[in-house]
Amino acid sequence: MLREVRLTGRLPVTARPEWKGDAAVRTMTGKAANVATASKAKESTLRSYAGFLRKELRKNKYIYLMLLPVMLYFVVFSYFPMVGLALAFKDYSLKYGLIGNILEAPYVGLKHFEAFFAGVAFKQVVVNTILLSVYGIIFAFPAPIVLALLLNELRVKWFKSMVQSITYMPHFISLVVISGMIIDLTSINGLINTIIDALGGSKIMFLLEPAWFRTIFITSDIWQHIGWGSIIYLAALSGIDAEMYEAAVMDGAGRWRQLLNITLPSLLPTIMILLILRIGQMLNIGVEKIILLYQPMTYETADVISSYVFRQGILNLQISYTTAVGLFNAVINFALLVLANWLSKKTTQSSLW
Amino acid sequence: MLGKRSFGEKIFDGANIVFLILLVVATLYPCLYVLLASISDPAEVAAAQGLLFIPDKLQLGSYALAFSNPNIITGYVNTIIYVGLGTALNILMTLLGAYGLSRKYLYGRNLFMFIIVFTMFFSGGLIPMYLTFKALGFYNNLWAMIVPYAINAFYLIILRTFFQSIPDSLEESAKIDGANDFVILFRIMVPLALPAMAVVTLYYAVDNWNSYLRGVMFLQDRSLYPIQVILREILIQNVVSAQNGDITSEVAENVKYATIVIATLPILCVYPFLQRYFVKGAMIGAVKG
Amino acid sequence: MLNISTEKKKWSTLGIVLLASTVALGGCSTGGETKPETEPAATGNGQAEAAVDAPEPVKEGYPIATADQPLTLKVWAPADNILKYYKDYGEVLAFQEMEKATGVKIEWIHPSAGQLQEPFNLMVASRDLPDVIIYPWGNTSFLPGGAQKYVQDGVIIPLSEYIDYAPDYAKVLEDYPEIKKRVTDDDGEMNYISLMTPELTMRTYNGFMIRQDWLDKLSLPMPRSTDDLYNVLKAFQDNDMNGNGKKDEYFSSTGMDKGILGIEKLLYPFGATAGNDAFIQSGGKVIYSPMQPEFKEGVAYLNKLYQEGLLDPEYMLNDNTKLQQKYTNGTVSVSYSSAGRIASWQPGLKEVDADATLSPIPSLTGPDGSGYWLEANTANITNPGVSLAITTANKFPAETMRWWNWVFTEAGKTAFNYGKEGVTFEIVDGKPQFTEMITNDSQGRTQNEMLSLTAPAVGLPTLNELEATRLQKSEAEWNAFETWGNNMLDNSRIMPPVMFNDSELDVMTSKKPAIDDYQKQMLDKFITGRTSLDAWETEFVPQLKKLGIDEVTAAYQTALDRYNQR
Repeated sequence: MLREVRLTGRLPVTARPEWKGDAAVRTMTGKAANVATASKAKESTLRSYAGFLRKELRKNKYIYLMLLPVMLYFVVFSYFPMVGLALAFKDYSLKYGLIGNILEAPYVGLKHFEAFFAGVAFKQVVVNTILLSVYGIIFAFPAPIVLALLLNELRVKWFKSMVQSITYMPHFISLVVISGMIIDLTSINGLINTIIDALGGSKIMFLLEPAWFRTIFITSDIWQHIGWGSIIYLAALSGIDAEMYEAAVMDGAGRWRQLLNITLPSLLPTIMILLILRIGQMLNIGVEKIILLYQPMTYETADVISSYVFRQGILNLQISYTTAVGLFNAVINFALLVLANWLSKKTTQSSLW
Repeated sequence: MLGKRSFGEKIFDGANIVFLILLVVATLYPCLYVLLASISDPAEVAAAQGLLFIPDKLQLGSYALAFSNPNIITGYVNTIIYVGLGTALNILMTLLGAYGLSRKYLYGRNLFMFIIVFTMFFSGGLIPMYLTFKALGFYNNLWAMIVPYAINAFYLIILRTFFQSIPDSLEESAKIDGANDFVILFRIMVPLALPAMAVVTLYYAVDNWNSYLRGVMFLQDRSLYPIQVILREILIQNVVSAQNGDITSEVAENVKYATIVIATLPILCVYPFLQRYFVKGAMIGAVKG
Repeated sequence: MLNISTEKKKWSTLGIVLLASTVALGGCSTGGETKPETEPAATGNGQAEAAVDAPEPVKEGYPIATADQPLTLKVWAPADNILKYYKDYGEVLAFQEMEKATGVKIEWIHPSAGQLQEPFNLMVASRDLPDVIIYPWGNTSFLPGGAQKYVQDGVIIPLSEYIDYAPDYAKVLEDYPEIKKRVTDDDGEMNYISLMTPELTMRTYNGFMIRQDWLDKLSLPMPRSTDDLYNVLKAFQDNDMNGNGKKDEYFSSTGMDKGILGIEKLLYPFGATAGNDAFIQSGGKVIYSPMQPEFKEGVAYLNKLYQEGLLDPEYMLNDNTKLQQKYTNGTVSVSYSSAGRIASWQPGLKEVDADATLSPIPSLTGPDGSGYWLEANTANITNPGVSLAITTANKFPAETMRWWNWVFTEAGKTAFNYGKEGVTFEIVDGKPQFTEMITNDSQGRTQNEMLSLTAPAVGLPTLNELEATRLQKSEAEWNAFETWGNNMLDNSRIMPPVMFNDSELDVMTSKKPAIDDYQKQMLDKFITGRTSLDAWETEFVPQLKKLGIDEVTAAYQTALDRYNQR
């Protein structure tokens, strides 16, 4: 053991400690040990904490080195500009530049937020946004997973390859064209109504009925993105050790069992992380597709936060207002993410932190 | 999957194939439509009302219109440079971040994750970004298109998830043999995470290829414009032409389809190269080592 | 044991090196000079001093700058029309003539085609101002507080004090008081120069359009009232003009927010309107059209059309392109349209149906033979969307005014409207005609394209001449202009482009969006019959009042009063 330590400067794995948090007492055996207990005086606790930090840095110096440019990037390119969030609490004026505004423009507290909440349609658009997101999570989120699993079951390689290569293509077609197609397909003389007619039903003017909007929105979402979304799950599936399946077969497990006991658990970390991140997008229904598909008669189900703010903005162009709404969205989204992260950690051990 | 196929399983296989064929048809449809529309007569496209049709006459007019814009060549060249350099930087930075943050024993790991995830939600907005980047010198040059977009937090998290699934014993035995973290990352971990790296490379490459906003906000010199900006200009100019009565709106419409094909075809060619990394069993044997 | 402090030093050095290299890499090839390069201007006695100490700048005469006393101005302007072929406006013939005559050199900055507000906002926010900005200064939907706000906030300067340096422009303002009113704000200040189209027939580029060939085939006269229109639509359907066995020859439009050819236009004959701009005025009094009985009458008419299948059942989903496609397919016979479209949609139609002809409907009145014209664009003797302003960064405002004034001199008007004699136009029988270079370009470029590359009066704050406009347009297009112009109905009710002050803006931003949303929803519901028209009195008007329409109307009223006092 001594020899290993001298060669690598590290302890063998079994002897390495794990820091469990401020309140816990850390105990260790081995040479590179510092013990701090809660009962020591604050100054020496601080000093030993600093010592502890130095030890950690030294121990994993290359890892920290790796992370240095990464964290630097986020600080410079994400955190520096974040000062702009202060504009949500001020009345932006063209008189000053950006910094001038942050420093000098009148502080108005929650005025813009109140304006947003007081809007007549506020409740409606928030509800619509959340409903669309929730439906998305229930239907659109699992779809690529299912596709990946189905593709995984194929034995004919060229077929699998072909399906993969074709199904991901609609992802690249612009929303303007996709919406045009949706309007054509659902129109009174379009493909869908023709089929309904042929089957004896009565035609529906889909995009005129508020009741149909969500279905069309989600279904077309799945149609456009199922292939692209499955790519990551396919990558995850390809990383599963084939030996596990061999062993399972020898134990007599059928395909369904294999799916439940091997495939899904192996995919779980990926699924959970993606689910957590998706929950963190709850209030972010993009404005482009909504605007292309809605019209005033379907506002009651189609109008979401982004489209509502867009129409407000046609009159306003108020930077402060849009920043405030954006901040509101971000806070709620982030809170949901933290909640989802905590739940996932408790139940599946997969989490962001 | 391995194992003998029972009758029930054969039914499932059959249904699976049928379903997938239907899916292929449903997803091929819009792509074929766009392709056909771009080479068909605008009047026929109007008549088709969204249904696939066999064009009576083929015409390459929309492509001619699109390519008549001399900026398109520089646009392509620029984009290739941005995508090449940009994706390389993306992968390098994301690798470092994803691997570093996947080490469970790293002190401060959760704090770092929090800091990074936080940026996915809170942003100062376009104007502060513009001012910051410009102040740092990222304006009207090649680096403006690459450095400020070096890392996408979402993709970093994905790659990290994959690194986390690699058994710890690999790292331990490598460390015992005297390897440092960089060696472990590049010699051992990267080859094992190839599927994930292929996915993330694809994501970054597509994002770089599609980047429009960056070009418009941070580039002043027209000779630096990427292809997406040029294509958008072509679209606008044709719409204006249509309003002026120089070309019909339908022709302008067709140019829209042509620009989609022009913009998308190169990326579609990239995917097959990356596809072979999604091969099962890349991990076999590694654990034993 | 490792020495901790050297470790620390190593890292901090590395960190600094990394940061420095990033910045340096980015910084070393920084482009884009930010300072305007202006040099001392010429004065009468040839002094080459800094402008600050110079004596009173020369008021008239060209050139303004010479080789000894050069002047360069930085101008930001949208140039979508030329970016395909030219790097910037400097290559355009008219501007080259301008430079020759005035001696002023221009450094052009153009945003990418299709981008306008974003680059503008970024430029203003970063206070990276050029000398001159060409932007929709007068368009209140781009700038709700008006250009005034930008003056107050120190972005641009008022031009009134420099008007003496632009005598030819001042003369135009004298000749057309209506123009003067439009470019002046409520405090009597002029903040920008706009594109001017003094003659009516130059502005009537919107109106109703009909399948002329179908009228001819049925020997029907051109419909002139809404009753006529009803009969014509019925006749088209009963006779199955598109020959597909279905009754689908419709009157149509685009959805209100999806295109500019919206359904609310067909309310005009009744003296009503709808949508985001539903305020009209009568004798100085502001009226919210949807609360008027005329509105109910118009909507009842549209409802009747809808119920009888004469109105496109999916009109609210149409955008401009879809509407054109429906024309090509023969499912639309009448709609609102524009002169340019009459010209540009015809070839596509003719491919499908060789007899097809589109004609402008001179005017449509209500059933009693009277009617109003409420399309605001028509009343715009200036185009507020194309305006020029001088920024606070400009050190030579007087010279700048003299520079742009050249556009309004005889030489300037000729250069920007026609180009250069012998090159782009010739005088034939006393009238100008464009040469082959314009009409028959060797590279296959269209006349409009060639004109934008040589004589771009249309897209810049210039004075457009009637004759030039006539020459520029194709026959079909000009015919539409004249037809609509010569048959203009009473357009006195159009709301002029008023400007709102801060308290009025507050009322508007807090109340108007909800009112607009509600009104548009109800309009579609009334027309399609999903809500009975009885609800107009019982539900619609009361709900509008509840949403605060009276306060918004009052805001418009005070703004209009100020406008009328200019």
